[in-house]
Amino acid sequence: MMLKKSCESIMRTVYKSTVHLMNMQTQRQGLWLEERSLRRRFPKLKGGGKSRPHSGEKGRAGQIFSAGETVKETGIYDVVHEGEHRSPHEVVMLSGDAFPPCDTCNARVRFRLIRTAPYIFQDEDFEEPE
Amino acid sequence: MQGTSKAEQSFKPGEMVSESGVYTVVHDGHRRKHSATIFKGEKFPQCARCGDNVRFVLLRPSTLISEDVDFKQAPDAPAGQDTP
Repeated sequence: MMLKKSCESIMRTVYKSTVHLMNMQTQRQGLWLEERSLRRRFPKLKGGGKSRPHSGEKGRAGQIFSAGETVKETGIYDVVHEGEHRSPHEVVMLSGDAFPPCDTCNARVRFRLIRTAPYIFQDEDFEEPE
Repeated sequence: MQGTSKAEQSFKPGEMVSESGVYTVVHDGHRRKHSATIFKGEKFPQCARCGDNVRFVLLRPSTLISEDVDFKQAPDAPAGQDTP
């Protein structure tokens, strides 16, 4: 009987922790979406500036950035982790954000620029009226 | 949506973006095609000049850094704080 109560108590604790973690993740994602929405409305706040018509820039491809540096150009980056915990993979980054540290290899992670492309709402033909 | 293969699908203004990445933006005559980054969860926007006639073709899909399993914690945390 005691054992059953203990198990139930542990299960409840695990359930609550899991729900708490999921809620935190949802809130973080919500904040990120909110920030992006602000940037759509006020592109000059961070990483702003109208883009000029172009068809993709590959000239600076290959440049390497470290965690903590500010993303200067929106686009796709190759993420290269330290050691063997993970193979390189691609992510899309928004200008004005900071390159983040990896949860596993921390600031030893590197970001290699693959190609830039301005955020659609920073393009002169898609900017929303302020 | 139109087209046959996923890579050639074109999207219209108002449709939801299901994949983040770099898209080719194809206008209706007034401007040459160009690339743009568009994020999942947004709607493809109208062009200020060619309106609903603009089309978007996924050129290179990619994952948002905030959705990556290795970058779940404190996305804006300062770097250089390695744990020993």
